[in-house]
Amino acid sequence: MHIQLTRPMKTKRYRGKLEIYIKAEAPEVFPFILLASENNDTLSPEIIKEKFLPTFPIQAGINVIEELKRYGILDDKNTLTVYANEILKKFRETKEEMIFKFQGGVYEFHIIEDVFYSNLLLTMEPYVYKGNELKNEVDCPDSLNNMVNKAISAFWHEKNGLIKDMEKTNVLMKSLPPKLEVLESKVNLTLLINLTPLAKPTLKVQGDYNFTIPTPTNLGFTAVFKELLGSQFIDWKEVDGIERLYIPFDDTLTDLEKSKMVKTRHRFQTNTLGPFGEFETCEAFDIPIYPLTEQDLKSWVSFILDEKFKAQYIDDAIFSEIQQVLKKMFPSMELNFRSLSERSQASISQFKQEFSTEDLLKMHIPKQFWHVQAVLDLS
Amino acid sequence: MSNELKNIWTLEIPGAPDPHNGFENGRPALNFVVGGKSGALLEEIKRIMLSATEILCISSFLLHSKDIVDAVYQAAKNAVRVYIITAIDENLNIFADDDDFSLAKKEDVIKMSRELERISLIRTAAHIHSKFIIADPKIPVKAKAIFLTPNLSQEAFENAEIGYIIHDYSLINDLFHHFCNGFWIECERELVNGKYVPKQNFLLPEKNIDSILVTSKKKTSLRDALVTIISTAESDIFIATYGISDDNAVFSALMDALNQGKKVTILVRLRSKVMDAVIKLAAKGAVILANDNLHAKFVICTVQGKKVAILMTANIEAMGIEYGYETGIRLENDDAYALESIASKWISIFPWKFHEKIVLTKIQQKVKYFDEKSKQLKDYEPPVQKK
Repeated sequence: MHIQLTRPMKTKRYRGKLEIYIKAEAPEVFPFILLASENNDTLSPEIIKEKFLPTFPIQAGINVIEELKRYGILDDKNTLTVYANEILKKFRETKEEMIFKFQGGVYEFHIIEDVFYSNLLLTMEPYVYKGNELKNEVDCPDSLNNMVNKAISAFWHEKNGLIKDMEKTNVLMKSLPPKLEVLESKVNLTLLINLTPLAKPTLKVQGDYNFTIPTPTNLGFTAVFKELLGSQFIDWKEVDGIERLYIPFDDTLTDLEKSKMVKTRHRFQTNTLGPFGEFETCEAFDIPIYPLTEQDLKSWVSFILDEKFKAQYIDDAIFSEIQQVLKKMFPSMELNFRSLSERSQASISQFKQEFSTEDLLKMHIPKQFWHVQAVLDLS
Repeated sequence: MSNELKNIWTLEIPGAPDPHNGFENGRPALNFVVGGKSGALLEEIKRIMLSATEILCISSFLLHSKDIVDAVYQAAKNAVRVYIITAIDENLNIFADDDDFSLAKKEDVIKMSRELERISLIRTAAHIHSKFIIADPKIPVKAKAIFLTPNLSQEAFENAEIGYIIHDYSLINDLFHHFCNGFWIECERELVNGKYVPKQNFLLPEKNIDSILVTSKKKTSLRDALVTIISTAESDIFIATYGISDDNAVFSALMDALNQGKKVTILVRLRSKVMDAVIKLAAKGAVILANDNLHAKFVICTVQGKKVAILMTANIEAMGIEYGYETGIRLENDDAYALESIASKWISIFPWKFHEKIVLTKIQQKVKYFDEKSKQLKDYEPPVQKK
């Protein structure tokens, strides 16, 4: 049986490597993955029997799914987040590869190094080690064979000529027969961005922040992105590998939602609830934002700055770091920020006006004011 | 022996306590304001608070006064940035009966802080015990400050307390640096949207302070200065303190001074907690007087022919002298004499006097004795004589 994942392995960069984990609509393979991870990667029919028999008929199909549901591992939508996380953990531990040993064969997952954007699809096929040789045939019990009948093979499909360094996928190339198989995309991989070089800056905006806006050329992507924002993916980690994004500034979102949108792309190093689901530790950050309009740009910069000021006390050194981050987020734009003292003066003038006219009992000076002002005042 | 009572306080001046603590208008000298019914102390505090045009810094162990809250609001209305450091927050439980905190309900104090948090920045730590207010510390021509022995609580303004108005800008500046150290380094929590949360890990470098005497995490210059002037005092030493115990270097210095034959007069508030120290000091010859509302703390003596004094927030206890966040101001010349005149007045009106022992037949007045067993002060009831 050839198992084709109808969604790609999710990918993300981790410690300089691309990690792969699986959110498949072919969950049949996962009981074994799980069992393997729980049993030091070694599975025997005895363990399988002990764990699953007699209610678990070792064969692919609905019975497996039902059994997984019974164990509370699969949810009603057959999503396998639990497994994905398990595998991801394993990948992190091993860093290089993950090997599941079944009786009669070895099944491998591979981490593909340094491939960080691509249109990709994945198939899973069990290969079997015989001695030191990898054989594309199965010597497993039939029941296993029914489910994972070939060795695992991840392969990459170069669609738009984006992957110029396929040779870097040498882990795959070296250890598996170079049997590339192009699959039809069943997922919308166009979210992976068109890397067409950006045009020169065309717009210069003066004011609070001075910047120039380049004209993005990836409008097609933008449309796709918007579609994705519409929740096609609950769990959307591929974005982490994208080099550039256009993120429309949506005023209808709450601050928290906006913040999450930014955070998922910028510097989240602990579990973070992103707009598309639970993101795990990830070092993908500072992914540039390419606003389409002046207003979007202003709104994003203001919003991100505001979030930074809300979060911490800020002196000149920290402010300088923030500026660097923002400049990376908005590359090729000239961002000139007001100094902290200029910012402070503007805020004080604003408060003076508000406090003299508004009901003081309803006022609440925001933290972002104190985070600048206290440092200026109490130093 | 049976007709003797040990460790007793006799009421030497019967009648209601002086509502003005010896100074009817509350202003015994140019730079001094004394607590009392006149309200002068509170008025002076408000005057300084309302003079602020840019920055207002407030340090107080306790903040529980509607007048002060109103003044903060008034300052905020003028876009003055108000910074407050205080001890009281949800986490505080170790000082439950310290100072006049027992007079205020913790919940009320926290509620008041939450009101203030909307228009000011508040940080807390249990050991914050300094009391002072600084207006416009960064504008030399406008800067004003008052060093306080009272907490900013309504009751405290009527107690035997002292406010010292600081005019010297370098002193104000050092006091401001002391506040900054308190805010960035000493405080541990910050009031954020009504919740006391650990402060952020953002520290500004500690400022070196010369003219202000402090107890802080890193410095005990207040203790060192107290020990120095007590040990170098020529003869008389006057001390006022709310609390005193035998667990610190200043107490030891006092005992040494008494051993050297120096005359030590101590004013305390009449409380059971001071008795262990009082008994030891009296045994060495200290004259000890008390009243029911003393909270000011100071030491006055003559060193090398000059009158010197230290006005301070610290009790003569380990928590205050050895550790905590406290402030002391060294006074000389006219200010030291002015403080001495306040001390002299208080000596003349403090109603209770301590005796190591007294013969029963001589008791003419109201008496309190220290019950060693319960460690409590109790009213002495003369036994009814059988006919």
